[in-house]
Amino acid sequence: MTRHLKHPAVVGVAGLLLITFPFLWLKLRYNYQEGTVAAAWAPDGAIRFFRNLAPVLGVVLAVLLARRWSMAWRPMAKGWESAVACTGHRAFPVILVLTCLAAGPFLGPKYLTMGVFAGLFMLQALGLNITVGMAGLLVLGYAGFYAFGSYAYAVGQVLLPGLRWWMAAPVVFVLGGAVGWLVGLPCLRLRGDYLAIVTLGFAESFRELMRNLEITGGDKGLSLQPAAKIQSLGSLPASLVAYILVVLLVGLSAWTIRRLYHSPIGRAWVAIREDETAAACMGIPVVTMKLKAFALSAAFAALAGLLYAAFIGFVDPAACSFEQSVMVLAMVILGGLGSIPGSVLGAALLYFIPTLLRDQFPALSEYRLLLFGAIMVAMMLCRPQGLLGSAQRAHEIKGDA
Amino acid sequence: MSAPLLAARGLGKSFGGLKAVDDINLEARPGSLLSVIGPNGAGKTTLFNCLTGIYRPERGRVEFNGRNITGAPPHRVCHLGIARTFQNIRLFPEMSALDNVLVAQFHHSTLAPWDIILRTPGFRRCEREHLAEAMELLEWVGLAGKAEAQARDLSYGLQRRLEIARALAARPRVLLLDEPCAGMNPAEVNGIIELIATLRRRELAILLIEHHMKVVMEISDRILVLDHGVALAEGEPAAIRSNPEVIRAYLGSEA
Repeated sequence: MTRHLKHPAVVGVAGLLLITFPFLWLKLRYNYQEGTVAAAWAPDGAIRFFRNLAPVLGVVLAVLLARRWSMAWRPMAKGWESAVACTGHRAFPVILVLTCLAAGPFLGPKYLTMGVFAGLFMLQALGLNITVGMAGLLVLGYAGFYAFGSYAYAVGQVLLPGLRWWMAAPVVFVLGGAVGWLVGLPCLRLRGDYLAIVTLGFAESFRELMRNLEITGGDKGLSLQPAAKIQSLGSLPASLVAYILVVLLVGLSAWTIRRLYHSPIGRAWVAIREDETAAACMGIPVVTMKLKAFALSAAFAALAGLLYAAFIGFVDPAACSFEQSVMVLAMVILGGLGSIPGSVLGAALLYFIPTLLRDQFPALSEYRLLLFGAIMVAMMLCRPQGLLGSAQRAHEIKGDA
Repeated sequence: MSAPLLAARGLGKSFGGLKAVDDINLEARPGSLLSVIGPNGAGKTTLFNCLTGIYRPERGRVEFNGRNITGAPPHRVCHLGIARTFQNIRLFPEMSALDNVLVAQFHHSTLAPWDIILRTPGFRRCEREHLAEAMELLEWVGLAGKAEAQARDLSYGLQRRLEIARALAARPRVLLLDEPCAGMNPAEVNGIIELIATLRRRELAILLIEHHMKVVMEISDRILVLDHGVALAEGEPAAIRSNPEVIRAYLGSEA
């Protein structure tokens, strides 16, 4: 019996109950006349909480139990392994992009919008994967670059009436890269946590700047001129245009990043992640390569930000919230650090699961972050390298030679 | 005698009050092997770190081919043609053995980003050449069958060999080996000795830190003895073996 009491799961649940006890089971009663505060027993919050949490805990427990006791785990893991291998196949991304494109005309506006948002997250996850996954630089302020892209376009179309998203896109991409480079410059001597904090500081100060400038509309945000938004094209409605655009861009980006990954540049990034000093001694210009990773990653975020602004027609400072940065980071980690299909899958899961949950079980959406936590814990236990992590790198060139 | 490729002139580096390396002179010539020996903490690895740019020496100069390269960053030093291995193995553990070697060829490729993204013929040729060279090196150190294995999964002895292959992939003219035989059994040590012997025929200048006295005496052209950061003696193996100061400080009676 004592052995079971010491089981991590039991300890974990007990700990959770203990920590949440004051918040869930008690309510503070203020007595303003006497100026006293007393805690009163109020379990209704807890009941609601656990009723909503039950499906989440159920899934986590099922996975854990399956792993622990089921004979099916091994074949399941094997099956997943071969599925991972499939994602590395050349035709896989092409089929995926074509399927998404073909599905476009049959999707209603609601699902098209969801598709666009998911695609924008994929674009960001792909970009962040370059710094965090490949080069091993932890960036906590990624949303800062995303917001930069949004605001650069929003302010641009105010200053230059007649600016269209397709004219601004390459410029914002390059500008985003330049901003990434500039933010990277002072960070280069920092490693690990320090770098994360500096990037976080960048995102926070950028948000404060946007909140306080007049041209950005402060807290209220900035609405784009209707003409600056993504327009319908012939018989294609605007949302379908945006959807097709985003699908193609995600495909193109994944393709480009994959080619960089399987090249001296990608190898240099991974080498820096693995051992910076050894990489330098083997001739890798560490500083330059880190800056390049940073800049490219920021450029993708800025591009996603621009598309967001051009699609929604509105930007506000919430775009660079810390939660946004953490969300993209969680997508990259869930998919598997360094894995390109992983970033796409992670983004899809972490965007669609909460969104669909909010549609189907509105009560659960309050516990979105808790759900993320549960997913992360389950993943760390079952597959610490991420869903699609650590697929053996195939050598394309060797196949050709 | 040929001119020295890599030379240290009055090199000094301290950590706080400790003079880790003090007024060291050395010259490495092509095709010859200079061993650096001394007790633990004598400053051997610090000396290597000063030569390869990991530390910036406080006094003295490092010269490569007559050029002053003191304080050049490690990747510049590598580009000039100085490669090294590490005392505590520093491979890229999550990369395959082949990728470990390919990384060191970074500065040989002069590809533009569009070459890489568009996979131009230039890119393909360059990658093919690098791959062939890397496979040759792996074969040479006895790792041909393990090219796709992750570095962390290799046995200790193979990891040491992979480090040598990786250093050679940078196409160095000077090779610094920091205790390549540490922790190896006699058979493995003999294997490394053979490797080093073939290396010398490539007209490489080799600097070797090693504790196996048998190895050092057998393959060195000259030996530099360090103690407490100071050069105790420098000379040919026979002279070092009979140097009373060296015996007292390091070799002991067993030598």
